[in-house]
Amino acid sequence: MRRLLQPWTTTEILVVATMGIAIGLIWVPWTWFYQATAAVLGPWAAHFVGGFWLIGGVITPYIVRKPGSALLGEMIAALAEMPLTPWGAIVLLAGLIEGGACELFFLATGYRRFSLPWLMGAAAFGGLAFSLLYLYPIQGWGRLAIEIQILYTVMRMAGAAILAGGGAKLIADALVPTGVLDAFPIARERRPEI
Amino acid sequence: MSQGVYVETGSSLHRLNPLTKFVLVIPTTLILTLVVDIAVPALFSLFFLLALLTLGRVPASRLGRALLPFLPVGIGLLWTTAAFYQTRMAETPTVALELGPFQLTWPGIVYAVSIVLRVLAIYASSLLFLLTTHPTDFVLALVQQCRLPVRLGYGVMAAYRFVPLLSAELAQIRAAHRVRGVPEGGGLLAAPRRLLGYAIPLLASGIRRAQQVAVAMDARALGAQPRRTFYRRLRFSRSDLAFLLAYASFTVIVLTLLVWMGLPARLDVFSGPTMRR
Repeated sequence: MRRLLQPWTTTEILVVATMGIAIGLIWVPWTWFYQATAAVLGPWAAHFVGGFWLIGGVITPYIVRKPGSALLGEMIAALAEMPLTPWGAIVLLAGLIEGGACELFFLATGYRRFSLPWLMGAAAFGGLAFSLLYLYPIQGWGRLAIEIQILYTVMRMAGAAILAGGGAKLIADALVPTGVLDAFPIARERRPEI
Repeated sequence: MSQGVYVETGSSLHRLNPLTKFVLVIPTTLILTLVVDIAVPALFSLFFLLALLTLGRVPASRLGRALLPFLPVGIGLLWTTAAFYQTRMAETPTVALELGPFQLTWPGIVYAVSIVLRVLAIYASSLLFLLTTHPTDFVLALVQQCRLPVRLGYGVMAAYRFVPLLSAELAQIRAAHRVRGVPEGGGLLAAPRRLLGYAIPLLASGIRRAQQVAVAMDARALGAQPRRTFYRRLRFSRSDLAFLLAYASFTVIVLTLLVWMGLPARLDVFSGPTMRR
């Protein structure tokens, strides 16, 4: 508990910034993949693909495990993506909603639970918040058939859980053996106590 | 530094405080989200695009190129919204077009066009910010005007500066893979594996460099003093006020027109289709 209340160290800020920027840059080609999916298979499949946009709100808390890490990771990723994406500055609002929702989820667990189901849960919760607070008003989903609304929302949440939740675990776990995360809780919890 | 769509012309729009341009996105998005109409988002789009061309002196070709990515988004949103539109009980849908299982109704098409124009107008408002604001200036304004902690602002900027080094880093990793005989080619399954094989060392070296920069920042006592001076100071000037006033009066005029034409009936937020067909 004491650890959670300590201010962020410069190392933590820089590592979260680097992760966020890397993720934001991956999102740029991902936008084209998203649009190609929408064009070929239709929006229901694109909403699954779009779930990947939650990864910034999952991977940084998984590594740093401090209050604010989800919001900060997702916002920095959105900031890095902003000048390069066809969506423009609105991605900051999207990042705020997605990162904020993931943050709330981890806050509710007291920043203690980071196994795969919890990571997937956080991502799915972020996907739900994004559907309700962003896609409904902006894309006017309220006027679509109710089955379509449910399908879109469920696909968003499933895509978030699998692509963002699973992806965050895959990438972060692969980074631990390289040793660069040794200063962070994700690596510390795996070391045997001496 | 990767600057995205930024166009350097040194115009009066460029000299505005980044926050002035950024903050416009918020009321614009809010208003447009509340209004389902064709004229309002069209007028807002026009306002921002004309401001970019005249005040911003952005060449039409650059503006066109910046708008190009909107095309697939717009087309996709247009046909899906029209196709899945749920007609309300009160409306008598006039069928415009039958396409297999889809039935395009006139209200559906009008709604789809207004949604596409809404997204275009929101996009145009952020283009005003993106095309005329250098990313560094934005972070600087956040630190100076919004009291963003200096370690956070400069930390993000420092990490952003690693981006151009990535391609050199990638070449090095590929060479290292080749030396160890990691196969280069691959089928459908090998591609994601190879991508992860590049991504992990790239991220690892990025994180290692981030930690070195963090030590360097701490060693120079960045953010240790509560007050600091800046090499370049951004301020709010009279032109910021003038631009905000111009935007506000434009918005008031458009909204007055909307009310005058008796359109508030069309305002809807979540507009739940409570009545099923």
